[in-house]
Amino acid sequence: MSDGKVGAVINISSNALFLVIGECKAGKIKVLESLEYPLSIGRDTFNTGRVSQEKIEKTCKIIKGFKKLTREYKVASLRTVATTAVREAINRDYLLDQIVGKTRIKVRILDDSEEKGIIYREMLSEMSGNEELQKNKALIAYIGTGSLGVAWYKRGRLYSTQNIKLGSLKLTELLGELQSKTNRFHQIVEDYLSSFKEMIPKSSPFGKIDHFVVCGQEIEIIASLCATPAGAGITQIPIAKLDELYDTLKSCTPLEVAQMYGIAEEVAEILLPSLGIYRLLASFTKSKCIYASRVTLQDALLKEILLTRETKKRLENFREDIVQCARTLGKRFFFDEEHGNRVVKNAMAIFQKLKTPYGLDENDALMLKVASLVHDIGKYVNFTEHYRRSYELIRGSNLPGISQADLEIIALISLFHSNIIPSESDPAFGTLSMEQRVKVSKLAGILRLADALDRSHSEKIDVIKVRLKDNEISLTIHSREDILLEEWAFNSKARLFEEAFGLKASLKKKVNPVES
Amino acid sequence: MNLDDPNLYLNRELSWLDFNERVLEEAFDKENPVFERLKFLSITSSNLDEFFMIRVAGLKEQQEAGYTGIDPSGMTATEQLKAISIKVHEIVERQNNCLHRSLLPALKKENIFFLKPEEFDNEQKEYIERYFTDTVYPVVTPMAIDQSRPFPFLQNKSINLGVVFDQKDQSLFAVVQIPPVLPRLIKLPSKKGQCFTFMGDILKSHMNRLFSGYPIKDIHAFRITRNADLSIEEEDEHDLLIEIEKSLQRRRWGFPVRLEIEKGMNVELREYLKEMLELTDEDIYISGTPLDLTLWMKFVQLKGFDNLRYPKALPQASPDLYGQNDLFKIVRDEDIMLHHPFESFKHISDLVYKAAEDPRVLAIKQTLYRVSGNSSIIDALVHAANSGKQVTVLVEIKARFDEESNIQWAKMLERAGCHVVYGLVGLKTHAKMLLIVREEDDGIKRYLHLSTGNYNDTTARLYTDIGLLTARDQLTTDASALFNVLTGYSLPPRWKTFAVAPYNLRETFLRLVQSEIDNAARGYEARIIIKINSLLDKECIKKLYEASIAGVRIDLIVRGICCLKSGIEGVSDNIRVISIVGRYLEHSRIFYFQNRDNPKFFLSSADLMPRNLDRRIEVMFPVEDERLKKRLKSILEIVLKDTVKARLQFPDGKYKKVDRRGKPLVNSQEVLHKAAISRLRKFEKERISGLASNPVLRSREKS
Repeated sequence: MSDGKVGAVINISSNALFLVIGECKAGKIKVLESLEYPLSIGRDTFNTGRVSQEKIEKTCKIIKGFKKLTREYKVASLRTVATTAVREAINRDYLLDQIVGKTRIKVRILDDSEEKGIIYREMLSEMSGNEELQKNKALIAYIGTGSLGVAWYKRGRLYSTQNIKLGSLKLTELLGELQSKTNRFHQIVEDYLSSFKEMIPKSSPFGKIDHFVVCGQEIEIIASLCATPAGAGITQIPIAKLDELYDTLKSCTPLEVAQMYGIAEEVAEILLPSLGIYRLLASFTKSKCIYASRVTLQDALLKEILLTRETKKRLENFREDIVQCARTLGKRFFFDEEHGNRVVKNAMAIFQKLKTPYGLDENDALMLKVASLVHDIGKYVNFTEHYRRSYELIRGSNLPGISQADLEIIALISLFHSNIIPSESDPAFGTLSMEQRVKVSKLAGILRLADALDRSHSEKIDVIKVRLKDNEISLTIHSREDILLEEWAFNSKARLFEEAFGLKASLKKKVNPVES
Repeated sequence: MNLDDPNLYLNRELSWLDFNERVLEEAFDKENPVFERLKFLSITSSNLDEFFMIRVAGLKEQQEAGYTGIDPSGMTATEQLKAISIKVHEIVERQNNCLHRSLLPALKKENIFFLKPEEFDNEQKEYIERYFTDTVYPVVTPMAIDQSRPFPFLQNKSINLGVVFDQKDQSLFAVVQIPPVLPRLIKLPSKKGQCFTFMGDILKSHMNRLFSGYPIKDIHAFRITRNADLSIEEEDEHDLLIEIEKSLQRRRWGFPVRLEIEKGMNVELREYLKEMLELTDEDIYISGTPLDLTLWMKFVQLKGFDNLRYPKALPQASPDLYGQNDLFKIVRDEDIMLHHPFESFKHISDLVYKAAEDPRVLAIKQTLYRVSGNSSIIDALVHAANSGKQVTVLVEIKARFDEESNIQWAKMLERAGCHVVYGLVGLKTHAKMLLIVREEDDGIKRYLHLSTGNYNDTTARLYTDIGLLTARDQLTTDASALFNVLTGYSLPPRWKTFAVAPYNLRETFLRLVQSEIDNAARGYEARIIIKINSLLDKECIKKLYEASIAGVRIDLIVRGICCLKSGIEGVSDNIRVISIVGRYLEHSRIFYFQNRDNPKFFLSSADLMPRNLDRRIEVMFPVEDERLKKRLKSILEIVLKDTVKARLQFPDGKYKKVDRRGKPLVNSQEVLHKAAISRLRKFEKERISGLASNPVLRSREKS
């Protein structure tokens, strides 16, 4: 069992290095140490594109110290991650290499969606404990220093997510230069933000939103400046208090704010932009208060390391959120939902049979599921070569927790669902590793069969049995109607599948399954 | 009511001098054994040395910089220096009286004699002749001084003999330093009792051997005290410092601040010294022979004479820990309090040793401020590092006057493989914490020792301090986090139970007092008891005045400086201030807030002084265990009832022994020591009777 296991997470974030050490006790995490070392790597990256050598050295030194502390607790598993500031630095390879060289610690760079996926998972689990949120609709915002994640939530599920390049620190860096030039800096922030005003409602999958849930590094400070009681879990900050604070802050320089509240100037600097973002987002909801969540990346990751069983369940559940978001994506492009559902059903029936013998996993299932749902969305743009349009739309969209690499795979599966044969001469496909290429081909192969079975988009066929025997996969189907078209489609589309798996695919029709 | 009125505050320097006078009272007190009285006298003298080197030096710097700001009591630096001079002159006179009229005669009664060379018998004369020729003569360096030669640099606290020669036209002087390598008191062979003589007198009587050919007119000793503050910025007000830095063109480290001379010194020499040292008459203090009473500290350490000392009072084992093998198990189950020096500090070094040997212990972390020379704690830490534990030691090398030795053993710890850190720039680490991380069956468990006193085996026998052993999660989490702040790996977190200076200790204190004020306003009984060493912080004092005005009943047990004035009508009528000066140096800091019917108790490493609250890392921590709260309350009650060593502050700021009429004699330190003894005895008795009544044991005995 994982009880008594001690784990640790180091998070190299944009303006601080974090270390959290915890142990698993009776299915709960007990935090033993929680450290924050302020270091604005983000400032370097967002300003100059690269992290300065001075800060690289400092980072190594602090990580070394962190590592020492993990030895004091005999930490069994240590995970070190980095986000935007490192991800976007031109010299990140050298940075990572120096960290490995000096500290023997390997850093994993999380991409934007992965980072947000981790946060959303933890927030969803927190929100599931709040009755009011649980039964309503909410806008969720995770304000990172580098980017802003927005998610639409309804009754325990995510419906859609967006990543906006609008982090508090980024905004400060972007507009900071103007700050000293005007006494009405807040006006500039407001004007800048107003360009996002239209965007948010447009991407909303549903109309009125009841609540606004916020999470991010500044929330703790803002909550305390609004004199709301601190607490674990989700607490509420009245919007009126937020407005009050904003009014106080807007005419002050960061230095004044720092002195007024006894906080670091770096923190004071990003308060106003953060508040601006909060207020903007809150204006899209009917909420009179903000639900503040204290979820942090490192805490959430620590849970994932230590609570393996719960994490597994959560990941399973979160896959459903991703599928729901894919559905929302489909709806945005007026997809044939019934067809999508039918293809998912067919594809999963085939996939389940092949999963174990061909070493496929849950993540593959998810990618196949998503591709099965949205493979046709390109038709919204153009019927001709709609698969190419689907590919473009999918790879340009946002699904929570799906990394850019995985999104590319989903897009490729969709690209190959029709009739083009995956070939290395395709620029996107060609850059994949061999394993990934085979995987795309296999999943696209399944999708083709599943899609063929509903060629007429009229749900004529039910797959009732899939058999795998002697290099042959046979699908027993049931239909009361004429399925000539489907049979023809199946046979003509089976080639990719047969090549990729080395299996023959055949269709067996049962007229009356009840009597058989 | 204007609570900023300077009349409501005592000057800190004068308040400190008052404290020194209370120590001097102990030297006069015939109830104390004579060696202990000498010790008290010697302490007043070394206290004054430090006072001049640091405090007076600082004021002189302010004066020289032309800083005209005033302290809370409304005094400028110049006014303070004047008042200090007047008061110290009085103290010096009392010190002299004490020694010459009281202590030396008392020693004579014990057959201990201090002889002048003219009183020597032949044997003694011969002995000293030989001693001078063989030992003294080779190490003395006479220095002639006159207008053509530069005035020699005379070391801080060195004692010199000023020699005036009998010259017709011009004055000629010489200076001979009493060699610091030689003892200042020399034991003489004697037929009756014990005889001693002073090095100064030997030198004086042999001066003609050093200056043969020059007729000597006069020889008198003098002693110079210099500015010895290495880090004045750590000591003074911050804004004040900026003022000084702005106006002071150059820092003159080590400038003279005081001149002590022997009675009857030649006026010409005296004026000459005054001029050369750039001092005024106010800085000159006249004493009898010998100068510098700190020499008596060495004397009272002489072997034997136990009848002239306090009866032995051994630190007792704590019944909670006595004979127990598994200290961790005990602390895991309940918090343990240790009251030193009545209870033994050895439990703590034992704990570190145990931790070093325990295979389950992963890490040990500790702060060290002042450590004694032969420290069992350091041995234990080295042992732990050698046993493969992760040992982190925070060494405060800036601890005043201990800098050098601190660096030495810090290096020793480093060599043993400890991770030694030196704390934060600009902040002395004064918090006392020991944290042990242990891997147990049900996961990681942390054990914590927090204390009001240093990890110092020597002072733990002389200072009253309270330590707490606990495994409470909230406390250990805060301690871990504070260590991370001190090692420089983390920002201060939001503290769960600690109040930590310079972050939120003052704030927390003010809030706690405010809450008593609120309770009083709502008609509840409100009460505060604070036991500390110094009360100096104006904000804290103001808040206490507010509390008194609101009707909160306040008892302050302040050993040393107290700038608060008690018993002022309409301001502090509800405040009573006492100071305990006795056998042990009062050092524990205890805070009690009535909090309606749920009293809060805190212990702290900090005094209520700006330097503690703003420029040091200090911890105030709650005591949560009901059993221990009761014990703390009873400690405070015993101290408050003291009628022997307690002095009561009067509205004019003066202290007098409390009126003991109609009250039993209570020497709180003795009572507390007896309590420690009886606690242990009771425990032993119970254990023995427990064994006797244990049926299993009895049946085994039978078989």
